[in-house]
Amino acid sequence: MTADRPIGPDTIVAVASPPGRSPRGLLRISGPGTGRVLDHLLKATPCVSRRLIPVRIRRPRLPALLLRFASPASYTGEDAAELQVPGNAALLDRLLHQAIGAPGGYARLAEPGEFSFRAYTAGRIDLTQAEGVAATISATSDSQLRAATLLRQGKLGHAAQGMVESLGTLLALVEAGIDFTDQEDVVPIAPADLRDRLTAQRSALDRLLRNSRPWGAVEALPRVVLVGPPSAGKSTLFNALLGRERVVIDPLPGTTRDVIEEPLTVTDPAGRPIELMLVDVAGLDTPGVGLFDAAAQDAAHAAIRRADLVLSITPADTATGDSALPDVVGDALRVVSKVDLLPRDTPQAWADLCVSAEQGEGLAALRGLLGERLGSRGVSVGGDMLALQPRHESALQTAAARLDTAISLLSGSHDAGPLPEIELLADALRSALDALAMLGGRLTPDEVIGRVFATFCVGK
Amino acid sequence: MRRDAREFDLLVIGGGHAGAEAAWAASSVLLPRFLASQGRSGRVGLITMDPSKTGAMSCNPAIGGLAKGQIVREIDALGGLMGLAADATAIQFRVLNASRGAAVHGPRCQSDKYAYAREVQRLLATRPNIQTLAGLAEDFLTEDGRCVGVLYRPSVSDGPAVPSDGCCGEFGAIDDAEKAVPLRCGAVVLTTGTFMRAIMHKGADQTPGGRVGEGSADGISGALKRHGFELGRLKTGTPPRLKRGSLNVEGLEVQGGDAVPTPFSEMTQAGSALTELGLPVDDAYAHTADTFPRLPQVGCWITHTNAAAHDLIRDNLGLAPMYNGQITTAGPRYCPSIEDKVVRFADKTSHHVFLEPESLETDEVYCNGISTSLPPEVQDRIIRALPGCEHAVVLKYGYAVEYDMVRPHQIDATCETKVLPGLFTAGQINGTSGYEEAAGQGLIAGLNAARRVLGESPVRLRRDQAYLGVMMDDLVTKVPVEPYRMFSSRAEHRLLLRSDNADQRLTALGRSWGLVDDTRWAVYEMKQRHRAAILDTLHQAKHDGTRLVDLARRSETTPEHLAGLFQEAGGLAIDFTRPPAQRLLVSVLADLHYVGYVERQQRDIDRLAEQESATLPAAMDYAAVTGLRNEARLTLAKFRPATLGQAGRLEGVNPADVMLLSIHLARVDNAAGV
Repeated sequence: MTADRPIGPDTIVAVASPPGRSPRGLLRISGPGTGRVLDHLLKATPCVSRRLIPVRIRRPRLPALLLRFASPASYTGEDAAELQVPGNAALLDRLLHQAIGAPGGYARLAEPGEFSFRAYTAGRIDLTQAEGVAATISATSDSQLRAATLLRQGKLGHAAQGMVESLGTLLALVEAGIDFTDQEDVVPIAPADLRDRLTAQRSALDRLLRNSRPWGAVEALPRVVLVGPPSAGKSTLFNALLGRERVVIDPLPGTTRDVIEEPLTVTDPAGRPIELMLVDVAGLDTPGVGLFDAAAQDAAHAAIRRADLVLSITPADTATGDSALPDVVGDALRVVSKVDLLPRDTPQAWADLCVSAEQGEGLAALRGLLGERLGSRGVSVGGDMLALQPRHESALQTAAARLDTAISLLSGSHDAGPLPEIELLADALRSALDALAMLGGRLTPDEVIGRVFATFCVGK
Repeated sequence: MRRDAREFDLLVIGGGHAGAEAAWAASSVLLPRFLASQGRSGRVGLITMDPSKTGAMSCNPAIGGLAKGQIVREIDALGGLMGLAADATAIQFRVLNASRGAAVHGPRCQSDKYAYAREVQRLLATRPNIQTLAGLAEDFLTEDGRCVGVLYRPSVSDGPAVPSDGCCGEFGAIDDAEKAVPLRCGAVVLTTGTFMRAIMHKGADQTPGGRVGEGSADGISGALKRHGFELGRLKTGTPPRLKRGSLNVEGLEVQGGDAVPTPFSEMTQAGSALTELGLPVDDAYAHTADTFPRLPQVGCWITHTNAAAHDLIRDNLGLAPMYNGQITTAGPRYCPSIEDKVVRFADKTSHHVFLEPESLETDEVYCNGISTSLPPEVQDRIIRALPGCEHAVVLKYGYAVEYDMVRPHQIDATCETKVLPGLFTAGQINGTSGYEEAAGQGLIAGLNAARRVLGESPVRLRRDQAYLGVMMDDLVTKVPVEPYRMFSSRAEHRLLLRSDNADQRLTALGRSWGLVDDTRWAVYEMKQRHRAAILDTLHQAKHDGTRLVDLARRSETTPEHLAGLFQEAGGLAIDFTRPPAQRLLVSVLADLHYVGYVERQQRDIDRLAEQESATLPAAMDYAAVTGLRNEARLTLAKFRPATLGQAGRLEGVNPADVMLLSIHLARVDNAAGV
């Protein structure tokens, strides 16, 4: 029944864009199941290869671009695809979960460097490139190691280790009842006792999952978008806040045509540094006029929709206080710029703040205000919340599902007497432990046996 | 008898459970060659110092149990001899965990130890290409770093071996070198058991020797060292044997066997199947094909230790070699001495002791539960403190034995040594304990040694195929701290590796390797036909509108119930009153019961299959692998794992290291134009 059957490579998936900060998100898929993964993610999957085709994602309903490759004409030599979506970490995370969490498991998360590895084995990249891949992988795994160590030293690692500890003890008690059933000294655990202790572990796992969020969401910094009419001085303010000339400035309206993003660190009211993403976009056209590049305008509006906080910039010389903010769904700050153009103390009661980027006036106050508004979002890895990478989250969920199986096996049993379906119970506990091993703290069968010997006087 | 350089294709050293199974497996594989050459080649020599001790049960005369029983079933599925010998000589059968799921059933028997050894010798004698050579092996013949034979010294007399002097016993001294004969062959299987540089401890008394009254093999230990092997040392122990007539068993609890005994071998009770198939009953299967059980069945008695016995032990710990520093080697935790039990579990005031008859022919009783190396006079007093043993006469005192082993990083999962290709090791020399573990390795070693002789590539069993695969993989990836014993919890695919489906898992493989003879194969094929017919009926026939398969999935459905339903449905030409057919029903029900779980395990297996099977060259230069961490590099260079899967199970090698290795491999393959 386990006779050698042909086994093809499985399908792998990963986010190929750098986490959190890129304007465009890239999901890469490779393997024979690529088509199935796409069918699951997209409404109506086109079959065309090697052309960028507009598609729609099922959940959430969003437009995206798809580039398909048919085997063997792909980077990996397998069926492959790249899905281009807005560069939103939470969205990418969601898609990744859909791809790997689909019933039957369409794909699995790629190991570090696995795409390049497949490319090499398929003869798609040469020796020199392979050397580079090896170097990249060791770099990746080093950083993973660091990340894993951090996690292990952190709350997640402690929680997982505590759970491995408790579940390991329970598994040892169950295994003792199997392998040493003929030993008088082995006292099997009662079903009711086991059920209670497993339920407690299951609740702990639940709390852990509730108090965690995807790693991607943590890496996605809150986005602060500078919005205003052309020549409102947005780019000047952008550079002033960063403290360097990042954006080309010109008195001519419409100088900024692309969306430009730079991370900026401010402090929250408690003095803790928090990082945000400062976004500069094209000045907004007066509706109906269509003076500027339509593409730049679309990009600007998209950026505004994704903003966590909008800085609505109005130059002091045209400030009226009634300017409408298009597409703004989140929080907004009304900022009057170029106050150096006005006589001192001209009242701007409707504004949250007045600044002069030229003279540096009001910049400190603006940074403070940013910290105040965004600090409450609590996006800090060191906080109470646990940041989970997709593989960690799926490990916790697998462990939870296995514990549910174990608890349901016990549900019909009497409070005392022998454990029902003891080998299935052991199987469920073993696979829960194997899943938790992902978070650090692998418990080998040898160690489980060791616990049996430490607990019971075993042996004739 | 003249022995020249061409006489044997293969030599097995040692006639214990590993050696007997190795000779049997090798003779199966080499039999076609033997017959084709009219006996000029394909011959297997079994070198043992005392042929009358071949197949001896040195410790507990029991075979099987949890996980061990599965191993015996696997050996049988691969055409081995242990199941046949156990079935023919058992005086009690009991399936452990019988009330639980089939995956944790542990078939076990107690055999008449003299009948067992005789049956093993009889079975070996049914093979025309096995010849037993009385004597010992002193050294290996080597050529270009490969083992090409042994230096054999025949025994001078047929009588029991007498240690020649105090220091090294009969095995060690090369005092009579001109008597030694070089025997060339294609492969050697070495199974030294507890005999290599063995020392027995009984109180302060230390005697060289691997078993009471027998010698120690010091020469071979030195030879291994000279050829570059790193040796380790292990310890095990055995309890006293009592005289049956001196016991007062009146009032002691009796433990009997199962009402319906479950045999190990598929060939046991196969007589009517053979008649149906028109096949004769071969000599090897003659004893149990129709008559089973063959010997009268007996019970055991249960007594227990008490406060008085525990006090005696505590008072005399200073005389116990395990506690006074005389023995420093670690013993097995799963088989602790009574000294260990009393010290480590001080709060327990009593432990069970099973009094098990060792033979129907003698009055020896095995005292299961009080393995000890205390001085004889203390053993006497402890024994007499046990209820029923007040006047017990001790026939043989318990003792501990220390012996040499080959450290496992020098062995491959094929049982071939990496240090001296052509030399295979099996059994306690590889750091295991137990007859079943030894026999399993003997089978693997004999099979692969014979394949080497025939110029065929070695074979390995995977962890998802057999307990034998789990054992071999564990042996070559773990650093031993105690003699290795199989437990069912070691098998991650326990639901798949059941005793009821051992033949389904392995017999076709065994057939393709030349281990399964025509008779056994015919019986297996018939059973497979029956299985298919049963499944067919299960899916087609209905009872009260419910498909039989849905009834069968219900946990309350018993094999007897199902047989009744088949009777009602009709159309099945299977006689369910026959025990083999009843056992087949148990297996079919187990398949149905575990199907969902097995599918999940199968997905895990498929996912890892590629990595599991990717082989690493023996001469791999780990220094040349880019990016490996130092710890991983050192571990890999020491163990030289055979596959990527093994590499990943080594302590000190992490998944990133395995990924780097696989890239390196692919690059090497590509450069070579593969």
